[in-house]
Amino acid sequence: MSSAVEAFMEGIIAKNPAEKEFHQAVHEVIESIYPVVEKRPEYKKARILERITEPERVIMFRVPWQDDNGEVHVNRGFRIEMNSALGPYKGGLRFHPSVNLGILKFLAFEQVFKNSLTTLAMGGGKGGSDFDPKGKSDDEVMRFCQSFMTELQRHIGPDTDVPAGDIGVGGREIGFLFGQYKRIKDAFHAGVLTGKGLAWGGSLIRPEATGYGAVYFAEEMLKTRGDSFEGKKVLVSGSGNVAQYATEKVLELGGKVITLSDSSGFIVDQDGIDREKLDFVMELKNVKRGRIKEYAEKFGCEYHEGAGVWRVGGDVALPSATQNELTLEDAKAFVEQGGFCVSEGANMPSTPDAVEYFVEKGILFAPGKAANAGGVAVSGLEMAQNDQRMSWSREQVDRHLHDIMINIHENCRRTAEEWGTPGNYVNGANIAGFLKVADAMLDQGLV
Amino acid sequence: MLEPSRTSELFTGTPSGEVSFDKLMPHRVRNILVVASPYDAFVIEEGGRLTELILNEYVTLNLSDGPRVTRVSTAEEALSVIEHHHFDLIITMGRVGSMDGLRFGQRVKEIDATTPVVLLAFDIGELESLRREGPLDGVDHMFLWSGDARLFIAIIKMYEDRWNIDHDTEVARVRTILLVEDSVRFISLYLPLLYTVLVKQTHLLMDDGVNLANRLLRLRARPKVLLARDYESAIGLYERYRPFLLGVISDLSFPRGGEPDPEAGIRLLERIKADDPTLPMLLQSSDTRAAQRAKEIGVHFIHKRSRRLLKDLKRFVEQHFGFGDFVFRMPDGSEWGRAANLRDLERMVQEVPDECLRYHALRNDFSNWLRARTEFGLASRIRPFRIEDFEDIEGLRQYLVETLRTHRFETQRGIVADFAPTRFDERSEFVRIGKGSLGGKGRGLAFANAMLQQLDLPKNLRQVSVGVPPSAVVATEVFDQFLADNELHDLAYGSASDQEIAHRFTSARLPEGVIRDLESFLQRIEYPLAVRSSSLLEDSSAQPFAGIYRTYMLPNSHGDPAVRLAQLQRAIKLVYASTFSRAAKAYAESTSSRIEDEKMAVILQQLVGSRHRDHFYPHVSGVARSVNFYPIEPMRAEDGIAVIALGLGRQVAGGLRALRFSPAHPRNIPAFSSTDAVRENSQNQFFALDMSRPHRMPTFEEESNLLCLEINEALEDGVLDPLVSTYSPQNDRLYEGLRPDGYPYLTFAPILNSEVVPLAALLRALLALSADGMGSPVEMEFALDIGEEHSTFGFLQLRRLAAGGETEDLELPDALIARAWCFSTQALGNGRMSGIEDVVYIRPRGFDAAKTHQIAQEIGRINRQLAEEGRHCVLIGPGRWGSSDPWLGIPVAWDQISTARAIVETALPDFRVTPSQGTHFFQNMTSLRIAYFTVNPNLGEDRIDWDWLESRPAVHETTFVRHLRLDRPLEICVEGRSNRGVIAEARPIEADPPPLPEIPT
Repeated sequence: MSSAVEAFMEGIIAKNPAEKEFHQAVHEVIESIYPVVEKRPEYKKARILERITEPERVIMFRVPWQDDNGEVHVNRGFRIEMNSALGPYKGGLRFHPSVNLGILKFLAFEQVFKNSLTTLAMGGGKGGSDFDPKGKSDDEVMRFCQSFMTELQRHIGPDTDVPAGDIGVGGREIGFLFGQYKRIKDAFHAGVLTGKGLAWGGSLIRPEATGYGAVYFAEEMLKTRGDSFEGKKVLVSGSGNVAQYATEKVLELGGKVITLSDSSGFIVDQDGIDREKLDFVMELKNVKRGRIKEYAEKFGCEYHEGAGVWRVGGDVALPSATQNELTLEDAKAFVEQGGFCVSEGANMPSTPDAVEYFVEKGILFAPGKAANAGGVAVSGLEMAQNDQRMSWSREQVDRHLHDIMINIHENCRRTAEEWGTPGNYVNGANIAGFLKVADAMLDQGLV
Repeated sequence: MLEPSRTSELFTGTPSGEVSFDKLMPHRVRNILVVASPYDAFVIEEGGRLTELILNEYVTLNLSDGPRVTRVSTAEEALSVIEHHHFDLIITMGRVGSMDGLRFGQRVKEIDATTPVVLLAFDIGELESLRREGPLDGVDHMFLWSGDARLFIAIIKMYEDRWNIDHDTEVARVRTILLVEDSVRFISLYLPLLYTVLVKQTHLLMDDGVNLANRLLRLRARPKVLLARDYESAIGLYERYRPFLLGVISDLSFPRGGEPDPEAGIRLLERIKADDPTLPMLLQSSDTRAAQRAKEIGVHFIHKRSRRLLKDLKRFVEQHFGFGDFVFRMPDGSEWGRAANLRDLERMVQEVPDECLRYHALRNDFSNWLRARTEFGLASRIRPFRIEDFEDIEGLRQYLVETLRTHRFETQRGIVADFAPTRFDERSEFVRIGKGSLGGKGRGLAFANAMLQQLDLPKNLRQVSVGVPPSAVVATEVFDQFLADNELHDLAYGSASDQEIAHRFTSARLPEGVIRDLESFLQRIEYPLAVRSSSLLEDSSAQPFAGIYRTYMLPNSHGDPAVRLAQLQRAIKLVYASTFSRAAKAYAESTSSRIEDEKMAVILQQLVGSRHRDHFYPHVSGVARSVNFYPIEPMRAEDGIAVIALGLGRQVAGGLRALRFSPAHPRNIPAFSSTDAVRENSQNQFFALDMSRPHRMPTFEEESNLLCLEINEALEDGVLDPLVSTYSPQNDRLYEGLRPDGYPYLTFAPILNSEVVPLAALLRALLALSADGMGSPVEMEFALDIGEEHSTFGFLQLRRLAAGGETEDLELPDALIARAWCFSTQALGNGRMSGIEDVVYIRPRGFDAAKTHQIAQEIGRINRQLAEEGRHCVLIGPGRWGSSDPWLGIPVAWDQISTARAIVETALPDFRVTPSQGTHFFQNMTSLRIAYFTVNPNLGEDRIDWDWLESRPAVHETTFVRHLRLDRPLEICVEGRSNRGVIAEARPIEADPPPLPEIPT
């Protein structure tokens, strides 16, 4: 198997020289799904792997713009339309000086499987520019966005390709991009971009989606063991958006969050973080932007400098802070104290050996690509609302989000079981994402 | 007191009837040309103080015409003036436009070889570099400016004494003191002191005089000072003026026979002693062993490095060397009343009977009295008018009152007026309490105040009133007197703890006159005060004590004036105490300054801001510089940079979160590239003065009555609208201004983007004006308070941005770059340093951001050790040096790293480097010409060879820190124009690249 993967990778490298990030991403995906391909000769015959690693279309274009002093600058714009087997290309735009073809292809490739996992009708893509928003005025950003969209508009549309935000592209940029698209097309196609302002086609629940989603996923995992959040001691790391809304949802579901953290340290509140305390955290982090230590000072609970939140002892862990925050030692400490459920709210918060340990020990472990899909899901829900020319209420969006997370969970659970690793959500997520795309490609013939 | 025999000889030896005093001192300095940039000139003149000092001296000596001071800004202008006008004395600064003072002197001598040219350097470094560069034949004397305006008088007197000595000794047997000294620094220190002592003594003696003629003769017969710089000229002067000699003050070591002679002083004094065993003589030396030699030959001794040097010298000189009211009268001659000053005069003119006013007007009494008080301008405005010019006597009265009032306000605008209880009111902008210097900060402010009077802002900027907040400066002589009256010298210069010094100082008493002035000052003001240090050395371009001394804020709102007075006095005394803090002493040692050269003035300044509930603060505080050392596209270095924050300036000065922007590009904010970046980087707390406890006395901790508040407090205070953007999490977007649905972040967008207040344009205009006036890049501190209709911009401080040697164009050889173990493409400074063998670095492998406080202490210990050994080091560590936030770098205070002459900020994994911006700290680094490297290996070529460092043996090491002493000294070079810098081991001479301009270490 390994030599087959290596042989495949040689072809990828030869065809896409100097795109290291892309090589890496392809290697990781192929390695995890190769057993599936081996068992499905039709995939081999249809050259699914070769097709899935080749973007359907790569658009590269000149983006000239003028700064406030009238100086002319030229950046490069990209849109990688990677795969549309499941729906219109969908993926963010990134404005950052590090952007190049290789990075965007890598991101677009991963996006295909992430979107597939949501069970929504979204293909995969990614785009952006090597434009550096740092130190640019609002006017300069606007002129750049307008120039960027002047070219991009001919390649996108609500049913073709629906870009969203990413690094360097937030609400401001989406606004400028949408304005220019609307002006050129002379039509209000709200569904051409997601991440829009609430007043002109955006969706509610965006800030909440990832945190809520991770909890919904955990809830589904608990259900597989006839359990629920009721009365569970929950460890949450971080204190940003994801952590705050994960805590909120755990509260709603009857669980007790006893930890939160930031880059300085973490608090342990054995009484649990109730609504009032959570409001304090939201005020502390969003308005005052103070340290979590102040929580301990305010409510008189324990505070510890540095890392260590996973060693506190609890039933459920929701790593919601940052990459590699949960190490093998943390994993052991958590499990040894009776912890049995982990749902990743952040991107890759557990180190690979910690993941391996969780899987080995039969812990309910939801990898980030499945557990934190709430953010992507809400993008899909924004498209759905735009399609209907409707704006759903918070409750409606939340309900749809909940349903999507239930579907993702079920998809992962079932796939893991079908492929002989019951309870292994890592395998389940990897394979389920791929299968859906591959099967759709087979269905749609050689295109 | 003078010895009786000498006193009588001096003052009674010449029969008073034989000499008319106006025959004494026939040769005077009448025309002086000063070649200096506007700021240099201002520093020297201190807002008119010099003219006043000179005039006082002249009036006292009953001479009608004081010297005229002509100032030009550049050498070229000066040369053109000299072509057409004669000057008795030319005083030039070290750098005067395109040529230096020495070359300028040469050109002067080509035009007129007889005119003396004196060069004033601002610091030893400048002096030495000028001396190295030469030529020296164009300058007659060099002096070192220490901030004491009396040096200027001393220079004039020195030349006048030299020109008049033959005449005056012949006609009046005027006495003479011989001063032998070859160090410019000590001459610059002694001469003003000697002359002050002599004038004071002469004044004291005046009261003993029996009649007017006798008193005047005594004054004119002030002892003269003769300066010799080597043995031969000392002997020559001694022999020539021997009968008139009052005493000798001599250095131990000076040239003899063209060679340095370490015993020249002993030889000289022995030689004189042989002739006149009773002649008072003083030997001074930096070698304590010379005390014994002095004792052996029976002369007095002073240790040059003694912390009490100046005091001892004064005592030696004192021990061993030895105008009226306007009287209103009625036409019958009866007295109606007396006016002691202009304000009295103005008040009484309104009240006196018509016939009294007519009586004096007819006799020109008003203009005569004014003239005698040197109010020549005012006198000339009144003099041309006759009674017939007015309809009636009431018209005359009105004219007089109006002229006097206008004069009073005009003279206080833009100049430093002396505080007088009868003259001060809230409109007074800048006054001085007591005598002496205003100190560095005070000088800068006085200059800014004068400069702003000429400010003609474009219309769009006139919605903001720009000015120096009303300020009173307690001048340096009050400090001297305070120390002397309370006998605090021993404590101050000793090794007592900061707390002990503060305790003793606060228990001591300020001079009575000053207390009365402060009382009367407080009666007239109702606003909170900032009590700021303003020392002589502080903010001088070479030796900044910026941030070393203390500042106290006072609510000044207690109902009882006695409480307010006690608070103010205590704050002043605490500022005095901070002159002698450990940090200040350590800093002085690190800069080869002497703590006893230091004198402290104290600025009492209206705090800019408004009261919001129990908080007092301005909308914006900030620092702006005319040069930006970190220009990021599209900024250019010359565009300048500003750092602003909500609330009091502590936020900016402490290097806490604040907004950095270029006034030329206020909409380009590098720190705010995304909403996440705004959330991460925008200010989240601010400082305000606590107004809730008006009774509170200031304590040793200067921040005891400051509150560190959260942004929502400002929200409740209702000040955020012009300062924030509102973040909508739902839309992931920032909206300018305050909105109900979101979180406010301090982006200052309404000011910078929509120009609610045109701050950026104002800063551009003020920086340009200030840099022009100072003749160099500048740094200014300011505060902005935004009103509904009108805003106030307070200019809080102005100083030169230290820059030295930056003009030399240095080029880094490729070979040097190749062998360097540290290379940065973001290095600051310019020039080359050699001789440093010590490297102190924070080990990247053991680094723990949670332990930065501990690391700071370890660095402090090593620094103390290095300071004791007189060594300097290269200091390397991650993140921002001196950061207030221990997570962003090593939170050291300046005294913990004072031996560093090159500082490297490195990036480590998970530890992103943003160059430190703690402004006071930065000023110290640039002033001391510390090479400053940011090494970010992610930025292309930047590198630091940790393996090389780890492979060197350490003299001391802990888990976190290693201290190396290398076998070969380091070579540290910065190519200023490209910001590239290297640190490498020095190679043998022959392998070296051609010599590069040096940065003094």
